[in-house]
Amino acid sequence: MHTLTVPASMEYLDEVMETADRILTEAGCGEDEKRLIEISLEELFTNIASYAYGSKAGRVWVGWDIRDMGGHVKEAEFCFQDEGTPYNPFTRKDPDLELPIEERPVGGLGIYMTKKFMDDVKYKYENGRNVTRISKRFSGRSL
Amino acid sequence: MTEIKTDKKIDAATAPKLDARLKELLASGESRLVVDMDETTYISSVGLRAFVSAQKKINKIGGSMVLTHVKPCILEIFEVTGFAGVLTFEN
Repeated sequence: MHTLTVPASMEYLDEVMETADRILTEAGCGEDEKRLIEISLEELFTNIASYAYGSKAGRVWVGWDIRDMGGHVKEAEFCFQDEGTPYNPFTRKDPDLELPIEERPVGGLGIYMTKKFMDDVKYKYENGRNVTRISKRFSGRSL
Repeated sequence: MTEIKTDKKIDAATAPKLDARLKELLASGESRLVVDMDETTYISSVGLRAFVSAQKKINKIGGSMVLTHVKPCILEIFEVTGFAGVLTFEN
């Protein structure tokens, strides 16, 4: 798995997003799938940069892998690791989409979209790190 | 009526500007907003929140906000998050 290490700060979101965009474009990922993956990556990185380390500085390890699944199907997997407070974002309750707009909580939307848009999301706490993985299949050019 | 255009990407970098612009217009007494989203092909949750927050204020003052030229890929995101029914769209 390839990795990129950046400080857990919103100033580095662009670097992470540009890297993801380049990897997905090179893999032949179409615009529609790329958008959904990138939204999910932005949400996860934003959560880590905003909350994982509280007011302290810390790092984020971003890993990725593009797998050829046969045919023209590929699978992109992205993995975020941080050494912040243990937190599984995917246990967060889904927002109630039936509530009137005035009562609708606006938090939790990003994680909800990530769960909806990705084929698989996984979380574990291992060796002092939060490890969050997301993956999605797409039809791309053959390698 | 005031019309504004949104950026190609409404993300963590550009959403605060959109949020500030919508707030500023509503604070200045404008109650009818038209948001042309023709160029927008990406919106993350921070962008959705800017629209929801503006819509809540507009509902209170009895105004209107119409999102125009919304691309299907963006409409899909409003739909998944349950906001398609509470915002107003027009071609």
